[in-house]
Amino acid sequence: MGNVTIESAAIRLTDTILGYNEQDLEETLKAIALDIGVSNIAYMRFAPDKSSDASLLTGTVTYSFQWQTRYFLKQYVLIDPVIAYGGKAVLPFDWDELARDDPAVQAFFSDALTHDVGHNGLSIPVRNRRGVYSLVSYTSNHAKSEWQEFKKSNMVKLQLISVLIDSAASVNLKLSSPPVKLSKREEQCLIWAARGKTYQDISDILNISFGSVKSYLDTARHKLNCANLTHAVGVAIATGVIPAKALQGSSFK
Amino acid sequence: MLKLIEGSRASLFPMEMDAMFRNRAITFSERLGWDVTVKDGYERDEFDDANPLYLVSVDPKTNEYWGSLRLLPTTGPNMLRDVFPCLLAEGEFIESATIWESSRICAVAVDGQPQRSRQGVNFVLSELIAGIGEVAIIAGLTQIVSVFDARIYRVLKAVGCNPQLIGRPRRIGATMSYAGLFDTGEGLLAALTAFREELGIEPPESKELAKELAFA
Repeated sequence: MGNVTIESAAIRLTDTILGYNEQDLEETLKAIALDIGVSNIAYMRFAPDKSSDASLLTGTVTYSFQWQTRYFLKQYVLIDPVIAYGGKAVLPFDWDELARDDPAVQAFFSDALTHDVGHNGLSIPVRNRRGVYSLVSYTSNHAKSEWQEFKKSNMVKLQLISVLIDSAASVNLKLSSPPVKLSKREEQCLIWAARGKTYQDISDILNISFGSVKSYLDTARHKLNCANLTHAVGVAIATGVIPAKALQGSSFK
Repeated sequence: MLKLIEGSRASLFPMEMDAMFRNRAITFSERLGWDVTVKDGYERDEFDDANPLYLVSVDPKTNEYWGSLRLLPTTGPNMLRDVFPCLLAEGEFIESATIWESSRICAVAVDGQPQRSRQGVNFVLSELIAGIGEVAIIAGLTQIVSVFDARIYRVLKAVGCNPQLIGRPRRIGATMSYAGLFDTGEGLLAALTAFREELGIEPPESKELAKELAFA
């Protein structure tokens, strides 16, 4: 696999960043994987949480649809050590460096292998000006010695591509910058709305009038520059305005 | 011996972190007279909360703290852009996937440290700078940017870093400060390898250790 050229990958990504590339990010990542000779590319973004445990927010991956569905259904996000470690890593790391003593982790990696995720994995942490953490992973099925050589020769290029992927993903996600500051009440109402509560529920929970709930949520929606409440909840979580952790304990019951 | 400690895992290295924050308070507040915040004997700032990478030099036999520095990716929050933009011309900034910023380099002088090198460079400082070269390989970096004083500038030159000054020098506290860039390519690696052999410095080894602990 030797020395890769990243010119075409860089052009695809800068086109996305500048808005010339209408292709969705997954298609772009698939094309780049072919360009640079890796099996898959996975982009993960974490909540810019102040707390120590960053939580996974969103991702774009080139893995098979079958594996993506399986990953979701089996709740692998809770087991996957790439997520647990990578969410707060600074240095790039090879998946071989991750501890695999836990039988659940071993089972996860074998399952991943049977779904063509790739034998080798390398993850590169990226952070942007707003302190948002992302992780770009590259997988391959090459022999270990070739893989070592690939990493050694191309780490600088992979750093560059990873940062471009992060920028391209930010464009694709149309995240609002600069950070929005919600009032305490607006935040509380939005978190309850994100947990699936109705205006009436929220009014009962927070012991404020129905009208107040409506006006807090309206202001929050305006501040986030969103068309409706669903949109506002999504953007608020994706940009870390409300911490993803606040949603824990919510259920569909 | 050099340890690479990621900020998010710093709590696994309480002794090293305690000694580092104290050493920084003495170096930057007391000795250099920089306008830094010292609380309970620690010099800590917001970039310590931004998950930096610390390089910590310790006595290979006793694990006693010898010195440290801090690295931050320039794509995220960093000192030159967020604290010292006055060192660069207006509108100029350093932001690249392959340039990281080094800051807060400091060392203590204690018994048992190896001699200075032929060029008269402190062993610990040169070990730390050699460590940057290692990190550059692991992380795929091409250059390091840093704000430093004349003393560190001489150390960088002596170990073969050849820093290029950018922007204009400014007085910060009691010392003149400069912003500079240096390459981490093959040239630096060769210089650092020669240096390491002369001083008997071992390559850093605790990235793995940190991970094992993190998953224990």
